[in-house]
Amino acid sequence: MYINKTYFLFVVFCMIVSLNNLNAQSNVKPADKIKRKYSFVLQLGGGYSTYTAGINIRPIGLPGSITRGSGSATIRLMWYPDRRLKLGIESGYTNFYSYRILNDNKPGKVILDAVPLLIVWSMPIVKRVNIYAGFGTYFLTTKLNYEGKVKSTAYVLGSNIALSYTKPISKTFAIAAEAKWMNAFETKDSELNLQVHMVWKFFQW
Amino acid sequence: MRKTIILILSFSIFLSCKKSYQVSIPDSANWDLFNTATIPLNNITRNAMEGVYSVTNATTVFGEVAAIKWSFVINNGDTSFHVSGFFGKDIAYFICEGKQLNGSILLNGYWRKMLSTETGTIRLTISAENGATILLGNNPVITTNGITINGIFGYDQSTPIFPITFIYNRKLNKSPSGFQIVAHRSGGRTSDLLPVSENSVAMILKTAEFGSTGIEIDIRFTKDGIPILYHDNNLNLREVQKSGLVGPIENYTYAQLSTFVRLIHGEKIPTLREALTAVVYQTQLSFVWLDTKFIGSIAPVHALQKEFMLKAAAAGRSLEIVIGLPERDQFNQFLLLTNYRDVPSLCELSLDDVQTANARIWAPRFTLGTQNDQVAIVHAQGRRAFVWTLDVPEFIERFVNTGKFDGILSNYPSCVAYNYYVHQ
Repeated sequence: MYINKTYFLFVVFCMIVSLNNLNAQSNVKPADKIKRKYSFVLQLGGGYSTYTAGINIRPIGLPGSITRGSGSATIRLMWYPDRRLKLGIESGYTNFYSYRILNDNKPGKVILDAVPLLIVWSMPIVKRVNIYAGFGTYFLTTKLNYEGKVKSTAYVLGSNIALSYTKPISKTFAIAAEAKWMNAFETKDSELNLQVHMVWKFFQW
Repeated sequence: MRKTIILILSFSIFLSCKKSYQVSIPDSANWDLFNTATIPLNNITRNAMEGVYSVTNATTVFGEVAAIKWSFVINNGDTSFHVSGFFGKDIAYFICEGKQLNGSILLNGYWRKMLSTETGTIRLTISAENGATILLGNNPVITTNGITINGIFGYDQSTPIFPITFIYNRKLNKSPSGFQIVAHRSGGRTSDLLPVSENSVAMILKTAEFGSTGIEIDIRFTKDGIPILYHDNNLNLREVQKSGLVGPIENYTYAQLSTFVRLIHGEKIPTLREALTAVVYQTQLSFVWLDTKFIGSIAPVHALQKEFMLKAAAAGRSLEIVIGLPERDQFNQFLLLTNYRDVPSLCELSLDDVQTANARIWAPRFTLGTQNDQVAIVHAQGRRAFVWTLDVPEFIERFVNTGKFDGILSNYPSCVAYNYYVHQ
């Protein structure tokens, strides 16, 4: 169900892109006047994230100590062709949530971390404002400390959507503010990120 | 502008296409007449009531025939009985409690269709003149048309108003050699919106109401070597509630799982010991298929198998517990057991492997067909043959009517029960 939904979103996304490209092509200049430029852009950023999905940890009965907020980081490598649609890969780190328990006077702690591994598409919608959409996997790590320590991992399907405002500060550098919704839909984990990115156009031809 | 509208519409559709299905067992406790009745039915009455019935008044909803059968479980020393009706349409069934009042028999409960989310309450009555007098007697002999059950049913929580009538036709079909209706994952899948979780003790106590005579349960080991019931490789939201714990279940100790993890309906993940204890001391189930989902020594599972077969015998229970051998890895581990040829097993591999392991049961997948010739060979060797996992009603009907298998594994035991009990 979730996968179909995501595919649906991407189909719609691609349709929008196609419409944009059709419009763009109606204004195409003669080939000899086009100055084609391609570039690679690296984005590094960090900020604050808050877990937005429901947490109903009934077995413990002590959900009062759940921590939803944490720092988060993003690294994104984009290829900028001479088209509106851009393609790239994204990773980073976030802590979805953590909580403590006290069960018969035995303390315990659970931390759930996530590293996204996504293919992302980007497109400007108005000047300096870009939308991003990604699809791929989240590498989840549970760190459990209760009657022994356990570190357990799993890959789950997920996606993200982001909206960013970019302000150039030189020919190769820019700074961006980004709001991003990360969604590991297979495990129903999602969170909202507010981040600041340093944007570096490090290679151009 | 156009792009913005398309974006907004797309996002709206994206958000709106998520549909969550739920089935809540309707509360049937508000039938005042039933609540005033205090006298339970006795075993003679219950046994005599079992049979194949013609259905009138509600054939478009439930079909034209029903098989009615009683089951029981024991909780804290108290035995509770339920009567189930299995229908031929949409894998429908009803589950009721029964009492007697002023010479009549009252049945009160709910019905459900497994192929949809349809459910509702049902209230049935056997009046004195419609068979209750005979049924409540000391030696009831029921003939065709000897019992008429009248009642009403409703949808969801609404007051039941639609009439339904059952007329006794004949006794239930029963094979002298004991056909097994084996419920997958101890009773059915959580994803089929059952009221209890798969592979739980609660499901083991519920499964006979769905028509099961036996269960298949999935065995894995925790990090500290405790055999537990769990189907999938990983902790996931299909089987357990969100807890922050991810990855293979084998990564965690039983104490950690017991503290942090709950199945979908809130039950703890049971140990194999807890599950077999429930089977032996709380149910009437006569068959347990231990499906080995792990790779490693089978000895700990065999030790429990042996212990609980002895306990069952000591309790006067007729219970067969077999170790399932689904793949070559488990098969090779099984051959490492001392006296493995004497260990009751069920082999899903070839007939040669069945002979090598001296498996009591050969269990091929249903996609290979009824294989009557192969089954005849197995029977000639003094073994039995079960088929798995049959869920399509048409296939279940075909295997029951034209196959020679001694048992069927299904996520819909009520469908197997219907087809088996009405078979002539």
